[in-house]
Amino acid sequence: MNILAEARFPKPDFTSGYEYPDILHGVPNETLWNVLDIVLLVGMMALVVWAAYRKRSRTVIYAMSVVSVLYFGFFRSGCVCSVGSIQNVVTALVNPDYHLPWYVLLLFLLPIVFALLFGRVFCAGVCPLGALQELVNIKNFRLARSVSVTLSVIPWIYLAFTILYAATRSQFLICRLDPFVGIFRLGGDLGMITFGAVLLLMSVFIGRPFCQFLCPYGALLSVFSSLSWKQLEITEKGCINCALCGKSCPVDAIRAPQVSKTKEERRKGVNRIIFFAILLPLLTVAGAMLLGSQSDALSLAHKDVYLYELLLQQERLRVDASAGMVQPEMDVPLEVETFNALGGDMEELKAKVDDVRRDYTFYAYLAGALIGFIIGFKLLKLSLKRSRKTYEVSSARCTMCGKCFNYCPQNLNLKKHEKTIS
Amino acid sequence: MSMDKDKLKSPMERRDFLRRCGALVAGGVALATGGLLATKASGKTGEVFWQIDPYRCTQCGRCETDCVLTVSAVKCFHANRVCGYCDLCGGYYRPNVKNLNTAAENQLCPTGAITRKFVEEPYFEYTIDEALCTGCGKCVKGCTSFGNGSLFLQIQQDVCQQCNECAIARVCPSDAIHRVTNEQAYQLKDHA
Amino acid sequence: MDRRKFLKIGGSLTVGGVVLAVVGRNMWNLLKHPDKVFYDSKRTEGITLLKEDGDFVSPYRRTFGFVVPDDISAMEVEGGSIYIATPNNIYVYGLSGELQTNFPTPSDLRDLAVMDGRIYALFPTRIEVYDRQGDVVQQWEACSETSDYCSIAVCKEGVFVTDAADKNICKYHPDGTLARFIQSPVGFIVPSYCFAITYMDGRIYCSNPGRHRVESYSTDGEFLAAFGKSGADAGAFSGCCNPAIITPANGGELLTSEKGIPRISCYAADGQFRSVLLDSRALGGGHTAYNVRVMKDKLIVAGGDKVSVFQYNKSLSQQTLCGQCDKDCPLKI
Repeated sequence: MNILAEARFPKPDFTSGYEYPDILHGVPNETLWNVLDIVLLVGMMALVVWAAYRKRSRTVIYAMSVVSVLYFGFFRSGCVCSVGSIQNVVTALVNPDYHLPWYVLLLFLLPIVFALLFGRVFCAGVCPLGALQELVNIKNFRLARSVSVTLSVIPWIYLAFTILYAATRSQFLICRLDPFVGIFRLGGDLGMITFGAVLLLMSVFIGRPFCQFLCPYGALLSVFSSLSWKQLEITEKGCINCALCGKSCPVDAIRAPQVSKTKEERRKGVNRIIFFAILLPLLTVAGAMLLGSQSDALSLAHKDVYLYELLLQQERLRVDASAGMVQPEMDVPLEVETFNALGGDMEELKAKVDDVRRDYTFYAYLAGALIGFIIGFKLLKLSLKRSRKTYEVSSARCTMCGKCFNYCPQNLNLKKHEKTIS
Repeated sequence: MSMDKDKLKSPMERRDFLRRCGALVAGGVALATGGLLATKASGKTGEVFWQIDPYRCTQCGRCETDCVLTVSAVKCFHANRVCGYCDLCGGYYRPNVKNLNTAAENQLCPTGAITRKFVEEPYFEYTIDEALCTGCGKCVKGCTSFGNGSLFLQIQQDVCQQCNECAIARVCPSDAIHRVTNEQAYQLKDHA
Repeated sequence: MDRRKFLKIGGSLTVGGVVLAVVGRNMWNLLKHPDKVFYDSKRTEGITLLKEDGDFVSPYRRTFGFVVPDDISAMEVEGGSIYIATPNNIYVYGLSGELQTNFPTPSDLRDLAVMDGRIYALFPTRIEVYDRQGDVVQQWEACSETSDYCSIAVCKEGVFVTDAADKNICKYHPDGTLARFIQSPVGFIVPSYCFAITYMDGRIYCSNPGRHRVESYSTDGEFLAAFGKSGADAGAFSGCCNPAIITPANGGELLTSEKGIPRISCYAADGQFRSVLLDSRALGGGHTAYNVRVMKDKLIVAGGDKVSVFQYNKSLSQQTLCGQCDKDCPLKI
């Protein structure tokens, strides 16, 4: 708390020839590892592309999962990860002074670029969180479609809040709620590790619960992968509608053929679509209003706003104490004590808080609009009935784990054929 | 409607077309964002580290308890060039010390990480044994209150995990921990 | 409904319900009290090394003060006048702050002493004596080439000057010739330019700053006694070199002024600690030593560019050591 402009005690004048020792400090060696991270990221994703599209081999993808857990997970402690890079990117977009390291930007962009080209290749075996769940998965119970679709809104809500907190520079929500970093780091907050353990337990029976129901980056990737240039085909030989792949998919990403026996009246279909199309903007606006109205309450997540509220609370307590209404002996929170000791100016703080609250109003509306829009969009998509002749992969949901490859009889026949030839 | 069927493409092709348009838009957005951010990131070396500003630090003690590592990455450093080399060291001895010796009950440091060595009359040299230091900040507080402030807390870069969000920075009451670039990687109090 | 489907639906609903419940609860917390989610206001810990000595009450109150044109390097009082030395001038003030006279001096003046209206100004390697008009009436060079003088005390037996470089006291006869050097039996340790000396009741009192003690000598240079110990609490000397200033209290007591943790304490001539008179807060904080002199019943304190006059306040003194001291002290009129 003291900035000593001039030392209290004068510099000694040594007569014995004493020499000052230098301050020794460890030097970090980060750059090399960051370059290796990016190289491995691109390399592993390319390998998954080849394994999925050319070879249709789950073995390679599974091997990638192991490598990912060992390198990106345990060796690099799972931090900085692509999921968290959303926060850095959002902060950098909003704040021109924020320093965004190039490798974090690449961690964010490269999986998106690959998703746009080939689908969710990152999720397959390269993301350490996904890989960890993949490795413990034994049995695959699938949730009813209605439940899993409802739950699939949650990643978007997570994403909306992440953007809100990152844009207002309050919190890195993903870093706070990351379930697996405690396991990778071999130490951390008990709540975090418990959460991770529970999710891993779920992963034994349900395929990739974090990826399906929680991952905000997955939500982002699903948008890009649904538009991808190359869509994954389970087999190159042509589907025979045996339904084995559909049952094997752990994330329920394979859509069964749908040929309606009775053609639905066109008018009814159009009406339904129009209804949901109108519902979409209404839900967006409703979401924006709902979250936007709470923006002041939400703003307490910001450190300055929190400090301001604490100071006001202390004021109130002091007034109450002097009026004899409260016990005067109370513990002052350290933040308040430090603020006062450092000579903090309430007026200056209030100006900062007003700025933050203004930001919150804007971004809360935005986040609410996003959530509303997503709900409306999902409803709209559900209402669109697509006719399908064979089993197809829904590239938005598919995490390219490759399980379906080994169930498809066409693939097995091909492999047998190849073996007999050689 | 069926008369216009040959004008319209089949549903599959229409879907494909929409998909391609969407992909172009999405790709454009992604590349634009990437480009915009890349221009900002290009001028810098890219490395960022967490560092404590030793002049803002109020020695609250949270550095010891809040680091995600079991043994905190924060340690005490000694800027000898700022030190007064006093016999009665404000950072070594507890405030109402009676005898100026190296007895443990006279020391502030709970782990005995400061060693006191006689240099010449009346100067004593104080050094931190990093293996024992836990980053609690008691000596730092003593030194800034009663001495020259040559002891200070700092994050060791070879131990720090460089988490995307520093857990200590979250709870620092004087907001003293920030990310700095490679050039400012070690904020020391080492000026003469 | 067959069993399998029932299990599937039931299981999904359970899992979905649990997930939704957890997420919903967290979202509710985020909306209603995010501060409880992200912060923990119960954490009040901090390190209290030394409880602020809020118990100390100074029985002296600042009654008057004035500002001088520049930073004060030295101060002396004699006969109702306050002599202030700034880097290039000497100013003489009356007790109410009115300027009586002033004259320029060379710039590296270290200390002042006044006797019978003659102003003894100490420089690192020489001594000059002025009269009140600023004319030099006497001057002489230091006795050795390596001298670096710090403080001066004057009595009719001679002029005593402390030397930080050679770590001894030089005694000069009143005419300026060197009488003798005075060494300490344990050796003077002088870590910085802070080596106080004063004259009281036929004795010379000086500080041995590195050893945190005050030593007394006869005017012939014989060591008589010493007192003082190291420590930060009251009754001890803190830091590396204290006390920075010693002055008599005209009742047989000695006042010391320390740097680092500035405070003014009172000791008996035999070394018994009496009380802290003014602590850091009463003096105005900082970490340089405040110069102090006693004029009749007032304490004159100089620090920075301000001169303050402190007076003993009987009502405040009830709880203090000063008030309980039964010595007949001229300050406590």
